Order: sequence, then C-alpha cells, then structure tokens
Amino acid sequence: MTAEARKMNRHGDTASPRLRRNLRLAGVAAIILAVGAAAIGIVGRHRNETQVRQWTEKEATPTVSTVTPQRGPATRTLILPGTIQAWYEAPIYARVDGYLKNWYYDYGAQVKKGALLAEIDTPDLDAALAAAKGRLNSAKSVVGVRQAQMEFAKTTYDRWRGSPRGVVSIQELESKKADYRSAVADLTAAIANVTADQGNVDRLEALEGFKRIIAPFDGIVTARETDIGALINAGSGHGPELFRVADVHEMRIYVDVPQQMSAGVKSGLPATLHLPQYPRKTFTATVATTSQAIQQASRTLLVELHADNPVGELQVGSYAEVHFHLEAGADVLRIPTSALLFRKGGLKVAVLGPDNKVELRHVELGRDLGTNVDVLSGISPTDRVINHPPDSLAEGEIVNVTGESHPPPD
Amino acid sequence: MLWIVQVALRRPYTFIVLAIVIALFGGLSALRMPTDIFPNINIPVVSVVWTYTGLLPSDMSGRVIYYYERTLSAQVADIEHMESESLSGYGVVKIFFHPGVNIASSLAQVTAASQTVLKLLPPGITPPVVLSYNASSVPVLQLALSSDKLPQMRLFDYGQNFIRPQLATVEGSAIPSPYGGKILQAQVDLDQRAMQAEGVSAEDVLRAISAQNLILPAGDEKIGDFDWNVALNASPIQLDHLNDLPLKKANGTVIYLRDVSYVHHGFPPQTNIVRVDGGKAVLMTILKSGTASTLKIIEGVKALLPRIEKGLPPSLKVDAVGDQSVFVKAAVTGVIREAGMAAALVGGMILLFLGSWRSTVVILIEIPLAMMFALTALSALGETMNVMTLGGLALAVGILVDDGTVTIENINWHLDQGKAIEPAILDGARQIVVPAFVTLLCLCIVFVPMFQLGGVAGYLFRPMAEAVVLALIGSFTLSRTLVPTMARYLLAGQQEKHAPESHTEQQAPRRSRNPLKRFQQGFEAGFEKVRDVYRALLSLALGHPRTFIAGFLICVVLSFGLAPFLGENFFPAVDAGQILMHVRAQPGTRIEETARQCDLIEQSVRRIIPPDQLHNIVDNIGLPFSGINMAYANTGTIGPEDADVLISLNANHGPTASFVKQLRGTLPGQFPGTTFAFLPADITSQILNFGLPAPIDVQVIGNNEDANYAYATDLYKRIRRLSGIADTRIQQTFSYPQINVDVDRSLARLVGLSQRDVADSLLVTLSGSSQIKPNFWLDTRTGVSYPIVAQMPQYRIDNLSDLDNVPITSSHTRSPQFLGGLANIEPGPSAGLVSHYDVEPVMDIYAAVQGRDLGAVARDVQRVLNQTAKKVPPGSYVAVRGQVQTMKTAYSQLYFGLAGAIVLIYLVIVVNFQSWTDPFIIITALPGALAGIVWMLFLTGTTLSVPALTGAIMCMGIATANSILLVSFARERMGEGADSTAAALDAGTIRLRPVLMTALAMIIGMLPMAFALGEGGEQNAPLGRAVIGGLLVATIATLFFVPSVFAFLHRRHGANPAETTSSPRPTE
Repeated sequence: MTAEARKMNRHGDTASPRLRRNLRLAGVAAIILAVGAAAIGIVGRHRNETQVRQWTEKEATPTVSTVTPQRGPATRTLILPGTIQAWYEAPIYARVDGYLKNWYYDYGAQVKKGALLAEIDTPDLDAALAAAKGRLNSAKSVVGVRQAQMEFAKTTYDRWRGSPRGVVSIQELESKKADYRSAVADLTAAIANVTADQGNVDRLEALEGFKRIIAPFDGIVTARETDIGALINAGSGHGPELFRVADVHEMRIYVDVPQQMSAGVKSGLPATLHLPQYPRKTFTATVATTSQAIQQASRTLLVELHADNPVGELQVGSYAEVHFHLEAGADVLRIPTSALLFRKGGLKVAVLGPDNKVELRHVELGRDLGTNVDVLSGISPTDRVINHPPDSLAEGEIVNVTGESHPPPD
Repeated sequence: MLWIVQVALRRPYTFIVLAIVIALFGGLSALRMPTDIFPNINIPVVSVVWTYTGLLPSDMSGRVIYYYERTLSAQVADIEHMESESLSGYGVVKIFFHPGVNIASSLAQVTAASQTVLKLLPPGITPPVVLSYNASSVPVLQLALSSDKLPQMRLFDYGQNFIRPQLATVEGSAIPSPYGGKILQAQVDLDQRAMQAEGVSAEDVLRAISAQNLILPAGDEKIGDFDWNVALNASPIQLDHLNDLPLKKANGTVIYLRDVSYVHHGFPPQTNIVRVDGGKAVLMTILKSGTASTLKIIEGVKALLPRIEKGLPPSLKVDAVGDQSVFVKAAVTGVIREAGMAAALVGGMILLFLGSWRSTVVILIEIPLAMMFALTALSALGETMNVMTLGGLALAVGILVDDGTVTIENINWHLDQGKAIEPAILDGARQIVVPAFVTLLCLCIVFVPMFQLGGVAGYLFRPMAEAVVLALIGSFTLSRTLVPTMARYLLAGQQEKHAPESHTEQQAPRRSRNPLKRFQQGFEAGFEKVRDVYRALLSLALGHPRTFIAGFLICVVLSFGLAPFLGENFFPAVDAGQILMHVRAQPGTRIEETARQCDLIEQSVRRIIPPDQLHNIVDNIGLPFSGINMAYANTGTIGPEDADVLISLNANHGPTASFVKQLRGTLPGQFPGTTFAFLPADITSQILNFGLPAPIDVQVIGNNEDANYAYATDLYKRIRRLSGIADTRIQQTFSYPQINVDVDRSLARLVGLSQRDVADSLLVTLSGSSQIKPNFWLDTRTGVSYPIVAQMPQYRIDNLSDLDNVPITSSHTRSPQFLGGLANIEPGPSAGLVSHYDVEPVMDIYAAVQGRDLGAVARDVQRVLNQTAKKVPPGSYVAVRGQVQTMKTAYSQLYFGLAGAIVLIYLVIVVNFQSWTDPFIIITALPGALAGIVWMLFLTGTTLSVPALTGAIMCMGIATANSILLVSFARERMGEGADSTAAALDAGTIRLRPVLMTALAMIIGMLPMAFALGEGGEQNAPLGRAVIGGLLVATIATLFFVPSVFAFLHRRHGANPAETTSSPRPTE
C-alpha cells in the first residue's frame, strides 16, 4: 500500500470517529437483524415443516368404515325357466264320423264332468241302425214261423206215433220224426239269428251315444277346434282334436334343471313362480317329483312342481320363471359386496382387530346376491369388516375408523 | 461506431423517420400478433386410439396394444418415448417425438403402422383414430348444453352431430366428442324372458336384423323412354318399422322382432355423466391445437355460437364455461400494466436524478420505441404475444432505461462542462459507446444458456430471452441514433438556459422556479450528503482492505448457508381460482353409485367453500363415450369409478391452495375407500404438467407384473408417509371386480354348443352388437346414420342369476341352453388399467406436494427409492418422471447456464480490457449478487424456481455492467497516475450516481413484477424478486467490495502502474 493511500486511509479514519461509531452500531444492528431474520426464517420453516410432517402422517393413515356381518337368509335362490301345464289335460276327439251338429261350450268355458260339449250328426250311422233293427224284427218273425212249423211237425209226428201198429208204415213214421227234428233245429237257428241282430242293433245304438261329446272331468275348455257342419273323422289320426279340456285347479310346472345346478332340487322344495304377465305377483309352488334321471340330449333333470291355481291365473302353457328356494348353510353371513377385496389368490375381506389393526381373511362365498354377498366361511358375526377397503390395504396396517354402517337390506 | 452518431447529427430526419417506422410496425405487430398465455410449446405428440367395445384391459393390452407398439418401434422414426393405456374397450397409445421432428411424415408412418397390424388384431376391430397435437393443446373453453325439455340423449346428439361439425371450422380448435349425456342410437332392447319363452337367442335376433335391414342398392330399369331408378324397401324409413321385422316361423305363426324385443330411439348404457351444479348436462370441450391463439379460438367459437343456436331447438341452452380467455387477457394485460408501471416509476426516478424533464422525455420516447422494435422482431420470428415475451419486455424496461440514461447523463455532463451541443453529444457518445457495447454483449451473453434450455422450460424461456435481447439491441441502436438526434433538439434549449450556471460535474444548486425544481434541488442536496457518507465509508473500507474483503466474503458465504432453506419448485404455483379434483371410488363402482358419491362430495365441498366464493361445480363422471377424449384427457380416469370435479371460484375467492388443503384434510375421512387427488386446473400448470395428472410420477417398469405390483404397493406405503406429500395413489388397479365365466367346453359340445355360441350370446347380452355385427339405420330427416345395437337392457340383467339364465342357442340345438348350466361363474380380480412405457408394463405411483417444496419431496422420494433399491424385482427398474424429472433437467441446465454466463462474461471483458486481473475484479461483484438473491428469496419466502434462476442469470449481466463502469473508471485514474486506493475511491465517488441510477432503474422496474400484481403474475414474481435482491447486494458490492478488491489487487502498482492501460474509455 502506498504512503499516499495510507495517508488517505488515516484521513478517512481520523476524519470521522462519529462515523466509525455509527458504522459499528449500524454493523452490529445489521448483523443482529440479519441473524434474527435468518433465525426467524429458519425456525418458521422448521415449524412449518414439522406441521407438514404431522399433517402428512395424519393423512397417510387410511380412514375406513366398518360393517358388521348380518345373518344371511336361510335359503338361497336358484332361478330357472319353466313351463306351466294343467293338472289333467285331455284332447277330445270324435269316435264317430259325421258332421258337427252343434257345440255347446266355447274356449275358456267351465265344464262339469259329463257335460255335453257338442253333438255330431251321423246320418249313415242312423241308417245302419234302422237297417239292423229291421233285420232283427225280420229274424224275430222267422222265429215265429219256425215255431209254428216245429209245433205242426210235432203234432203230426205224435199223431203218427200214436196210431196202431200197422196202420201206419214204419217208413211214414220215421219220416214224420225227421220232419219234427228239422223243425226244432230251424227254430234254434232263427233264435240265434235274432240274438245276432240284436247285438248289431246294440252296437249301433252305442255308437249313436258318441254323437254326444261329453267332458271327461271338471275343467276348462282350452281349445275348440271345430264348428257346426265340420266334417268329423273318427280317431286322432286325422286333424286336430275337437276340444281340449284341462283341469286347472292345480298346475304342474316342468323345469329342466341343468345337471350342474340339480343337486339341491328334491321333492318338497318350495319355489316361487314369476310370470311375465304378473310382474308384481308371485305364486308359490312345491317340487312334487323329479325324473330322477338326466336327459342325455340336454343334460338336464326334469323337475315337476305343483302349484294351486284357485283363481285360474296360472295358465296352461305359460312360461314361468321358477325361483327355487334352496336351503343355505346354517351359519351364512351376509356382507356388502363392496367389502370384498378382489386380490390375486382368492377373495378376501379385511377385518379390524381390537387395536384397529387390519387382518386379511380368506372368505368362501355363497351366492352373490348383487348388493350383498353371502359368506359361507371366513368371518364371524362379531367381526368388524372394513367396507370399501382401500386398494393398498395390507395385513397389520393400522387405520382410523370413522363409523359403522349396516349392509342395506335388499 | 461513432459515424452513426455523426450521421444522426448531420441527417436528423433519417432517424426520426426510423422512429416513426418502428412505431408503425411495432403498433401493427402488437395488433396482429396472436395473444396467448404461453409461447407455443411445440413438443409433438401423436395419439392413436383403438376401440373395441367390451374388450378387457388385459386383452386390449395383450392382443392389440403390444402388437401395435412393437410395430411402431420398428416403423416409425424419431420416437422420443411411447406411453400407452389399455382400458376396458379402449387402447390409447401416445407417441412423443423428438422436438423438431417432421410431424407430417411421422404421422404418415404412424398411420401406416396401424394399417399394417390391423389384420393381426381381433376380428371386427376398426382402424384407430390418429390424432396429432402438442403440449399446448389444453382445453380453452367448454360449452355446457342443458335443457329442461330435451332428454339427455338429444343433448348429446345435438352436440355430437350438429354443433361439433360447425365449430370444427374455427381455426386452431380441436373438439373431441361431448362429455356426458346419452348417445342416441337405434336400440334393440332384448327381453330375456320373452326370448326364453319363444326359444330365441340374441344371435337369432341379430341374424334377423342383418337379414332384413339391408343397405343394398337395387339398380335401374329401362322402360320405354325412361331409365327408371328402382328403390327397394331394404331399410325401413321409420325406426318403429324395425319392430315389425319377422324373426322366425314357429307352429305356423311368425314371431316378430317386437315379440322378443323393442326397437326404439335409445341409448347404450351410460358410461359418462356430466353435471353442472348438480343438473345433468352435456359438456363440449374446445381444445387449442395448432398455432392459433387461445383468444382467437375463443372469439371464433363465440362468434359462431349465435348462428348455431338458431338451428337448435329454443329449449336447448348453450353456456360457455371455463373460458380461459378471461385469464389469458387478465394475465397479458397484467404484464402490460407491469411494464407500464415500471416505465412510469423509472421515468419518475430519472426526472429526480437528472433533474431535467427534457432528458426524461428523450428516455420515455426511447423506451417504447425499443419495445416496439422488439415486438416487430418477435413477430417476424413467429413468436406470439404472451406472458413470457411480454415479461421479457417488462424485464428489459430497467435495462433500456439504463442504456438511455447513461447516454443522456453523459451528454448532460459534457454540456455542463460548458461544451456546445454537438461536441457534447459526440464526446458523450464516444465516451459511452464501448462500455455500452460491452454491457450489451454481457447481457446478451448471459441469455445464451437460456437458448440451451430443453423441454417445456426451454420453450417458455427462449421467447423471453429473445424479447430481452431484441429490446436491448433496439435500445442500443436507438441510443446511438435517435437519442443524439433528440438530444440535439431538446437539450439544446436546456443548455441555453442552464449552461452558464453549471460549473460542477453535475448541476449546481439553482434558484427554485417551481415545487418540482425545489424538490429536485432538495434531492440533489441529499444526494450530495449520501455521496459524502459513501466516500467516508469507502475510504474506511479501503483503509482495512483485508478485514473488509474477508468480512464481506464471510458474510456472502454465510448467506449461501441460507440457500438450502429456500426449497426448489419447478414453477411458482399460480392461483387461477379453479380446483380440479379427481375422485376415484372403489374400483369397479358403478357409475350411478359414483354419481351418488359425487353428490355427497359436492355437499362437503359446499360446506368448505363459502357460497359467495363458489362459482360452479362441474362433475365429469366415468369414461367418455369416445376414445378421442381419452387421448386428450390426462386426468387419469380409467373407469366408471372415476370422476373429475371441477370447482370454479368467483373472482373474490380466498387462496385456492388453502381450500385444497382443507379439502385434502376433510374428504378422505368422510369417504373411506375413495381416493382424492387435486390436479392442476389452470391452463399454466396443465401445460407445465403436460400429459400427467401429478407432478411426481414414480414408475415401476418391468414384465413381472405381480412382483412389480407388490413392490409398487410397498413403495406407495413408504412414499405416502413422506413429509409434505399428498394425493399419493397407484394409478393402476388390479382389484377391478370381474366375473369369470368358465364354460365347460366338453359339456357344451355334448349339448351341441361351441364356445363361440356362448361368446356371441354373452357379447350381445352384455355389451351390445355394435362391435361384431355393425348395422345402421339412416334418419332421412337429419341425414345422421345411427348404429342399430341389440342389447339386453342393463336393468333386466342385474344379478348373477340373470347371467346364469342367459339363453344360448346355435343352429344345431332346438331348445336353448342356459349359461349357468354350461359354465362355472365366479367373481375374481382383474386389471382395471394396463399401462406401458416404451412397450414395457409400467405402474405409476402419482403424488403431489402440500406445504413443502417439490425439490425436497423429490429428494425424500429418491431416498426411499435408494432404501428399497434391493427390493426391486429382478429385471424391473424404477424411474421418477413428471415435473420432478423436468425440474431436475431444467435446474442442472440453469446452474450450468449460470456458471457458463459468468465464464462467458469474464472472457468478454478480458477481451475488452486486455487484462486477466481487471475482469476478475469486475466479476467479484457476482457472489454478492448471488448472496443478495438468496437473501431476497429467503425473506420473501419464495422458493427457487426456473423463473428465479432465470432472474439470477439476468442479474449477473446487470451486476457486471455496473462493475465494468466502476473498474474502467478506476483504471483511467490509475492511468492518470493515481495510486490504486485513490483511484478506487475516486471511481466509487464519481460513478456513484450512474451506478445508483442503473441499479435503481432496474430495481424499480422490477418492483411491479416482484409484487405479482396481475392475474397469474405469481409466475414471474420470483424472477423480479431475484433480480431486485441480487441487484441490491450487487450494488453494495460494486460500490464497496469491487473498489476494495481493486485497490488490494493493484496495491503493488502504486502510482505508476506497470501495465499500460488500454482504457476503453478515452478520458478528457
């Protein structure tokens, strides 16, 4: 440093001791201010950081709500389509050929057993009967002739036999005897003819009875496939039945139960029927019997159910959705489906331990019922099951609990 | 360079005309330039959207996306990386290209690749939709369609088929399908019971429709003189008539379609619900694409709306919501206002210092002209008017002033020396031209590293740097040309009045003529006192150089100790008054239930946000109808359990961040099992987050899905506990509930059915026929073709038994079988989303920050990753992506840029001074500037960020400029024979005024920016603060530390300096 500079410095130094004092004061103040500001800033930031850490800690603990499992219903439902049939159902055909003369009951009519449904006009049958009757009468007349002839032959023969010997020749006598015998045989034949003709008349008269078509049992006319003047052919080989009568006081419902689901279906099992035409109504039915054999073509078991039909709402041939109420296990519990944890390695639920520690348990499901699900095993009725479990929930994690809700009734 | 000044003086009209030309072009550019929030971020992306209704995510990934991605990697060049998401029914592949790629040829390659793979993919799949867009493609406007009369499906129909095609003509707009509503289609509702009763399967119905509803031409027939067209009733005109199509003949009666189904104008099961304040609506999003400006697009749409509305039924209400133009306009006017305020403040300051209104006028004319020049040049470069370019201009105000002020002040000084006007101008200019040029060079060089910035930050800050550099060049030129010209006219008058009175280097006290003058004289007196004190203090420092230098350095180093407490963010948060909340209920939650939850969530939100601050709430629930929306959306919606809740606040709202914090604290506790995430809602953060719903994205990449998921879950649990982290979530879910239908193939075969029969029946029952048997019905009145879709209505099939009872037939079987009889049906888990990154499966852990800076949280995350590095499944790897990654790159580039700037400045001044020592003395001011930046950020609680670092780099340039002035003066003094201490003291004292003026001009110019007054001004506030803090301390360093160092280093040279100074500034 040069001398001049030093002089100058001294000049600077000496010229203003007040300035130096002020400067020192200002310097100290500035340092205090700076350190203070830095300290406040750092402490503030530190405090903020602590708060943030606490906040994060709080937020990091998942909050869950729990549900208590409810006792499940005693039954589970199996739904299958079925067909409704009548208790009895008979298609009615004609036994006689002819033309329909008149009918008395139409579709849907209630009929009693023996009620006249229709009459058939059978002119050829009537003619045959008349002929047969004529033939009978003529045979009967022949019997009278034969009787008279036989009596005459007998008297002649008696007379000849009673005459003294020699008066009549043996030849003559034998001849009269033969006449008599022949007359007896003729009579017998004539009598037989009458019986035969009588039989014929009886048969035709019985056929005449089939001109009247009669209800076989109490029921409903479900079909009338003929009309006045229609040509009627006897037997079922030609054309449709004339009438169909069904007994609908009770119905039989047939369901093809797939083999896979057929295990629980036994006679006596209750079921309900849902019909498309009665959306708000159900009907009860009971399994009466099963075919006890799986049909090979469709691999189904034929199941027959019976259902009362007092008002006649169940109609023959309807489609029905049959809900079988199968017996479920005794200790089935029900939890909301939203409590299930869908993870690889099987379905689980998260159960809350006493210290809010999470425990994951495998569960075996019964039938999924939609909003709720039946659990066959894995949880007990006193467990606190976590509803809506977070995706990442793990065994042993500690969680906050907000509230308990019950599964919604379904 | 002096010749130009001479020209200016000799031919003054030249530069007046130049000024007028600049003003004209500048004004024109200002009017013509597209206005936007940000510069165009041209990171090209091509999205490819595959659709196959009903295909499970895992199948979509395995059977469609993988094939395609492999083909892409083989056939398409310049791929930066590829991402894909496979959802139920959709597959979206996003291909990110290297910047500067020829997007047209890439697009062609991508399209070609999709044609190549088409035949290898599941039958019936349609070619994908290929979309090209870039990072600035964000929603700018939304139209909410609502009506009290029309059903939802009509709303969607009007949006999709009538409004959308018309709006598509607005330049730069991209409009995906509407959100929400119901899609109008010809719906064939199958009745399972009737079908069972009639023994008809879904397949039969489809067969009947395709056999009876034909789109086949008949032809023509020539009869007589005419050629007649022949029309066949191949397709019914009335939709109702489809009901009468015969289905099959049984027992002599014909079964019609109406017997087993009902054909009507219907809708497929709703997958997307939109509600505006609880009322069902349809939302049309208008995105910005291409280079058109946000404002133009919105104006265009709004101009078209009245015409469109005329064609719509009067009961249809079209409301514009989420209008970003308001924000853009506010932000842009905010910046302009900042610049204006800066100019006004600086003008006042100059008036005070120079005490001459004429000088002030010269400068106030020069500044706008320099800006106009910059605008014209920017417009020529294809830049837009945006927050960044305007911010750059605002930033430049201080420097511009400096340039002009130095010139004027020097001219004044020479005038005061009693020179005539022209020699004064020439001398003043000569004296200033080299330092001014060096300063200009320094400032420009400082911005060179900014041009190296990569990624989003680069696209944002390059235009800003351009703006500053251009303004500086303009100002430099004008200071050499226009300023002398104006000085000649204006200052000549001043000289006549004042010249006789002036005898000191600055104005001597004058008689006061008006209050302003009196005030100015008072100021001058005050300034003299300050100068005295400064001189005393400086000589004190020079007296103890070692103590002072050491003390100062210790203070600086200690100040750097505060740096770790600053925290690091990528960009400052912007409060745009919107909250975008992503809600995810339990995986697989049905959309109706999610909607119900959203109702409850909305109630909670309304309890937290006061009603007078809440503008509206828009819910967007579930997956949009069209895959195109999936390509644009990046909120992370993967299924019906997801909802985006957009909460818009009124202008008078409280801080958005505090609402978010409250919501984060309240909602998860109220809705257990539901996750909440707060996504960037405003246009700025959306652009910065580009394609990701969260700033932190930890990816576990590799093929071992199970192990990776286990590891990701473990990682998630650890990350969740990190301080300051929020919204942690794993994007991929593997617990999406699934019903596995396991058909017994042998049994099916025995009863005459194949797997195909089962599959076909199930598809029609559960997802409709549109994918396998597309068939269309044309509405001849509107010209819209609607797909005919046969499907079981969802309300008819709502439990497992209904699934059991799905009838299955084939042509070989007479009576139908039932699914339950053929298959084992069991629930199980499935993947809800399969994502790939570069053709490898990836799992994303998303997280955001709350109350802590991103850098610190990212470091903690990295620590966790290091801790668990051993647990990473073999063959897999972990990557941290998202904003964190971009931030790291940007920071390292900026730090490197900062160091590079200092080195470059040093080298430039070495050339200038032809010395190694003096430039070193000059840059010793810079650590002080850095310390000042640290202090200012620390005290204002501002974190480090890209703008702050930009400010720091900028500060280097300005701090050097001041330092140069001082040192070069001191060298002159030494050259004149003074010893180093005296030279330093004189330099300090004499340069005090210009140094203070420059610094004050900059600081005052930055003040409006630092206070973040405008809308979205938070963005650039750290820049202003950094510059102010840096300059405050840098000025002190320049005034005390630099002279001390100068005196100390040159102490041996004494009064007779050994080296011959080649002073750039000739002295008089």
